[in-house]
Amino acid sequence: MFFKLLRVFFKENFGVRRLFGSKVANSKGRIILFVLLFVYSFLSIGFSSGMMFYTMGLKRELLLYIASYSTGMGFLFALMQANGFLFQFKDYEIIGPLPIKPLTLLLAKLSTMMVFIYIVTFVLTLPLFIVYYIFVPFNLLGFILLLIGYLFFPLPAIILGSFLSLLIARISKNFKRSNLIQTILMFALFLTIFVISMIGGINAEQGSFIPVWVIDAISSV
Amino acid sequence: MLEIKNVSKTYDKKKLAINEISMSLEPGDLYGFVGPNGAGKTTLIKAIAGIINYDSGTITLDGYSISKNPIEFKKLLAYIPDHPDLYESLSGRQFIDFVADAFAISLERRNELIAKYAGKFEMLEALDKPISTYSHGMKQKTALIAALVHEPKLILLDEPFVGLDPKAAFALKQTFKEITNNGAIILFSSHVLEVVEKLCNKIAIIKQGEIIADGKTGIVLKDRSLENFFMEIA
Repeated sequence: MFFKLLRVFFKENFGVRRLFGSKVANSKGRIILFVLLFVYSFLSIGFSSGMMFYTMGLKRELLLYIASYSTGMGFLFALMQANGFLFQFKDYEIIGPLPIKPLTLLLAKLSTMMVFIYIVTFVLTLPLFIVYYIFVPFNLLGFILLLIGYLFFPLPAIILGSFLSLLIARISKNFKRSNLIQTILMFALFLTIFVISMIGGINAEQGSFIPVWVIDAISSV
Repeated sequence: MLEIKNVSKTYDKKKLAINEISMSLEPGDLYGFVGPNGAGKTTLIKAIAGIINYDSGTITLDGYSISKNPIEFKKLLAYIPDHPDLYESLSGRQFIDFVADAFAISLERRNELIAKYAGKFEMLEALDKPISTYSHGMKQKTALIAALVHEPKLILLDEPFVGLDPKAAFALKQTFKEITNNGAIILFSSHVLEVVEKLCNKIAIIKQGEIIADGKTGIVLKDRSLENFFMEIA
C-alpha cells in the first residue's frame, strides 16, 4: 500500500494540474512562458553566484555555499510545509477511515515531503553544481561524496524545521485567529533567523548543521 | 453489530461535544441521526470512523474496537464526509481504484461494482475525467461509489443528500434500502427530516451532545411527524 499511497500523493502534489490548476489545457502557452521565465531567473541567479566564486577561485567556499543554501532551503520548506504534510493533512477525512497502518501513511507522507524538498533544493542549487563542475574536473569519488553530503546535510535542519512547524501550529491553534497567529509566528521566526545571521551569530562555518570536515573532504578529492 | 457505549468527547478540554452516548445498531438498520447544528452529530460519526479520538467509552463493530483493532474495524467501514475533499489530480476511476486497493478488492469484483453504481448514479462517463472538473454532487457520488465498492458492513455518511440532484438523491435512497436489505448498517446525519422520517427504520435525536430520543422510528415519533417532534424537543 505504501507505493500506491506514494503514487497518489506524488500525483496530487507534483501533477501538472496541481501545479498549474485544472484549466491547464487552456493555458499551455502561458504555462510554458512561466516555466521558461522561472528557469531563466533561477539559472541566471545561480550561475552569477556560482561564477562569483569561480572567478575568485573559491572552490571550497562554493561547496560550503551550496551546502548552506540547500540546508537553509530545506529548513524553510520544512517549516512551511511539514505541518500540512505530516501532522494535519487535509485529506485525513479520506484516508483516515481506510484500513491503512498509521506508520505506512506517515512514511508515505514523509517520503512525499522529502522528495518535494529535495526537488526544490535541487532545482535551486543546480546552477551552482554546474558551475562547480566547470570549476573542478569531474571525479567519481568526489561526486559520490557530494551526493551523499547533499542528501544528508539538510536532514537535521529539515527535522528541526518540521518540529518548529508543528510547534507553531500547536501554539496558534489555541487562538481564535489561528491562521493570522501562524503567519505572525512564522514571520517572527524568519526575522529572528535573518537578524541572527546578519549579526554573524550563524554563518556557514559556525553553523552546526553543516559538518565542515565533509566539505573539506569533498573539496580535497 | 455496532455498539457505542458511554462515548464522550471534549474539544480542547473545554467544550463537551458528546456526552456519554450509547447506541446499538443492528445489521439491516438504516439509522437517521438528526439534531441542531453543533449538537455533536459529526463528532460522533467521526469518532466511529476513527478520524478523531474520543475521551472515554467504547465503540465496537462485530467485536472489533475502533481504538484497539482499528485496521480490522476499518476493513468493515466506509465513511463519506459532507464535503468529500477528494484527490483532484486523479480521475474518479483512479480514486475509486485507490480506495479499492486499500481494501484489496479484486479487479473483477471492483469493476463489476463500479459499473453497477456508476450506472446508478449516472457517473459512467464522468468517472474518467479529473475530479478537479467535478461539481460537489459529482464528488459526493464518486465518494459514494468508492465507499460501496468494498461492500462495507457499516456505512457512515455526514449529510449525504446535500448537493445531490433529485435523481441522484432517489438513487441514493434506493441504494440505502438495497444495502441494508443485504444486512449492512447505515448511519447518516441529515437536516432533511422528511427523508429521515420516510427512509429510516430507526432514528436518534441529539441535542447538546446528548441523545434525547432513540429507537424505532414509529415508536419514537408515535403519531407525530419528525419535524413536529424535532421542533418540540430541539
